[in-house]
Amino acid sequence: MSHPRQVISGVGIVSCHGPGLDRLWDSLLSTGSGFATDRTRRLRSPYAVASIPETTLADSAHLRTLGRSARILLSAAESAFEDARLARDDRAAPVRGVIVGSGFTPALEGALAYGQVAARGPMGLDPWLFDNALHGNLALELARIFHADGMTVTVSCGPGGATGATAVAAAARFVRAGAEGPFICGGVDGLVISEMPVTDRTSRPFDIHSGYAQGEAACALIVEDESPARARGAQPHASIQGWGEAAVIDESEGPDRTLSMVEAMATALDETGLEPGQIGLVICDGSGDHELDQFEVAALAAIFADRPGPPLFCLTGSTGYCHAGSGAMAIAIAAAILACGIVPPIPGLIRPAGGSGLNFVIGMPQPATSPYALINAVSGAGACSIVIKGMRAE
Amino acid sequence: MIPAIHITGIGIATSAGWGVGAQLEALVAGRAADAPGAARTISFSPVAEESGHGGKMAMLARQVGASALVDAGLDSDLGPAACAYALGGAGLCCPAGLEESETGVLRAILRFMSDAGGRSVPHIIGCGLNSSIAALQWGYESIRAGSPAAVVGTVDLVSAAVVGGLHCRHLLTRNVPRPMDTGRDGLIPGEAAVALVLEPDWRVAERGTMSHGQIRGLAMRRVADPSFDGLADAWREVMAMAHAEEGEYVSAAAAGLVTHDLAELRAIAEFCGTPSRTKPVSAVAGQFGYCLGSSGLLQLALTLLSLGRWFLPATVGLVKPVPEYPVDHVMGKNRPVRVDSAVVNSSGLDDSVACVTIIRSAV
Repeated sequence: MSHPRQVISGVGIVSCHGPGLDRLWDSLLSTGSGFATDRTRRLRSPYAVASIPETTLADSAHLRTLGRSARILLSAAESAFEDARLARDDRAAPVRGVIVGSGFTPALEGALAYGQVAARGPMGLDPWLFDNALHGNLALELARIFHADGMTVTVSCGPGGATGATAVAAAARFVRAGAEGPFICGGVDGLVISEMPVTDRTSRPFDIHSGYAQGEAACALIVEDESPARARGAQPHASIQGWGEAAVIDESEGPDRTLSMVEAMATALDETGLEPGQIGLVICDGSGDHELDQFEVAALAAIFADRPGPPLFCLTGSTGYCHAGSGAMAIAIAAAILACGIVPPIPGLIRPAGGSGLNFVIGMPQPATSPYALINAVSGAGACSIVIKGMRAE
Repeated sequence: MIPAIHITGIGIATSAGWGVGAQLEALVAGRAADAPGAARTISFSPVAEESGHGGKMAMLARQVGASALVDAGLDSDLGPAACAYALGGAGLCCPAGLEESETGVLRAILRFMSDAGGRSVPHIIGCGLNSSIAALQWGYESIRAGSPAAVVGTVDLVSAAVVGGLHCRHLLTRNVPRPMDTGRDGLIPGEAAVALVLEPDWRVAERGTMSHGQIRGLAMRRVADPSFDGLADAWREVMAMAHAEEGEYVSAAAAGLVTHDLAELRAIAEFCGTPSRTKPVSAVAGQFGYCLGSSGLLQLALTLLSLGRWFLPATVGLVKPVPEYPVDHVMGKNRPVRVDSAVVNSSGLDDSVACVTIIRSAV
C-alpha cells in the first residue's frame, strides 16, 4: 500500500458539550449524553450549543453581523488552526482553500431574511442578512479571516452527515491531486431559527426506542499533505485513506437508500485496498430516525456479510443529530478512538432494534481491532464513506 | 500531466427564453426587452407542467441539466460523472426555503442524472455571488482528480429578498443598466439557469464528440480590499493567473456599477487596452441583467455561443464609454469577426473575482 499523503493535522469542535474535542471525549467516557448531563438548560434544543466560545479573530461589531452557524464554525476553525500549528500570517504555509459542508444553514438564513422582508418590505432588509443567506458565505467568512486564497466553497448534498463528510473527502481529494497548502474543511449546521423542528427527546440511535433529536455542532478539520504538517511540528491525528460516494436516486425507496450506503462503503474500501475484515472501527451515521437507522443496519450487515464485524460506534446519542456537523465530527471522533484504542459505549443505545447481530458497543467499552476506521455518513442526496488510519497511536 | 478540459454540452435559460436558439436570437438582436428598472426574469415554460415538485428553481435546474447532457450526447450513458450545481442565493430565491430550493434542486438533479444513467452524488456549491464559477472550478478539479466528466450548473432567481439585498447595498438602478458607460448608476437583477458538461480531452477523443470549447485557465481570488484599488489589483491578479493574455476577446463582468466597472476596466486595459494589444471588450449584463451567482457561467455559455457563430455581442446600454481606461468596446452593434479565444470575467462584487480563459473548438 502506498504511503498516505493526506492527513488530518488539526481538529476543532464546538458541540453541546462546549468547545474542544477533549470535552466531547470526556463526556463519552462519563455519562455519554449531552442531554443527560445537563437537563437544566432552557434552550430550544437540549443539544444546542449553550454558549458560543469567544474569539479574537474578528471584532465584536463584525461578529454581531454573522449568523449563528458562522460564529460556531469560526470558533471550531480557530481551534483546528491552533491544533495544526498554523499561523494566520504564515506566508510559508498559507491556507489553500476552505470547503465547508452545511445542509441547511443558507436556506434558514434566507428564511430570516424573508421574515424581515415580510415585516419591513424589501427595502428594509439588513445587508448582513442578505450576505448570510448567500450560499457560500460560511466558507467566505473563514477565507477572509484565515487569509485563504484558493477554492472557497460551501457544499451541500442535502441535510445529513454526508454533507460534512463530503467536504472533508473533497479536501482530501484535492490534496491527493496535488493542491499545495492546508485546507480548512468540515461541517456546521446551527439552530438558526427558533421555529426549527426540535425535540426534547433523548437521541437513541439504533435503539428499539429510537428517537431523532436535532443537535447543533461545528467541526473543522485541517487536511493537508503529511510532510509540511510534520515539518511545521504538527502531529497528525489520522491519514485519510479513501472515500466513496453514491447517490440515492429515489429517497422514498428504502432499498435504494441502503444500496447507496453499501456502494459508498464498498467504494471507500476498494479505493483503500482493504477488506471489510481489516476495519477495526465503524462510526455510523445513526440519525436516530428508526427507518433511516434500519436502512443503515441493512447496509452494514451487507458489508460485513452478516458477521458481527468490528465495533460500531455512533456519536448522535451524545450530541443529537447535527447534520453536516455530525458528519465531520464522526471523522474527528474516529481519529480520537483510534488514538487510544478504546471504543466507548454508544450513548443512548440500550437495546438495538432489528436483531442484525452487528457489534454495536453497548454498556462496556471495546478495543478497536485495527488502526483503520470506516465512517458512514448519509444525507438527502446520498451517502459518503471515508476510511481513515489512526496516527497518534503510532 | 493535467488533461485539457472541454465543454461538450450546454443547457441554458434566461429572460431571453429557453435554449441555445433563444439566446443566440437575443444576442443577434442586441437589445433588452424589459422596461427601465425591471428585473430580467425567466418566463415559465410548458415544460414546467411535467417537472414535478420543487418549484421554479428545481424545474430550471433539471431542464438545463438534461439539455446539456443531450447536447453532449451523454443522456443515456453518463456513468460516474461528478455533478456540481451553484445556488448562490438559494435561501433568498425561494420563500418556501429549503424544500423549494436546495432539497428540491437536489431531487431534480438526481432525477435527470439517473435518467441519464448517472449515480454520482450531486453537490450544491456556494461561493456567494461567484458561485457558478466555484461550481465550474469544482467540476474542473474533479476531472483533474480523475472524474471522467462533470456536469456543472447554476440557477438564480429574483425575489423580494434578492431585490431588498441589492437595494440595501445601494447596487440597483431605476434606469436601464449601462455597463462601462459614463452614465452608469447601478445594476438590474436577472434570472438565469445554465448547465455545462465538462470532459477531459482523452474522453472527447474516445467518444468522438463535438466540443464547444476548451478551458485554458481558471482562477478565482478573494477580494481582500473592496476599495477601487483593491478591486483593480484583484482583477489584475486573477486575469494573470487565468492566462488572460491568451484571450482575443474579453467578456467583462461589468454590470453598470460605478466603482466595480471602473476597477475591472483598469485591469482589462492593462491586459488589452494599449494600441498595440487591442482586444475587443463587451458585457452582457446590460441585456440579461446581473444574474447574481449565475453570472459567470452565463457569460461563459454566451461567449461560447457567439464565438461559435463568428460574432462578438455588443454591450447593450453602453453609449458613452468611460474615458479613464480606453479599450476597444464592442458597442452599438455586434461585431462580425472570427475570434478563437476569449476571457470571461466574473464578479462576486466585494467578495471575489474570477476569470476563465477559453479557446473555441474547431468544428
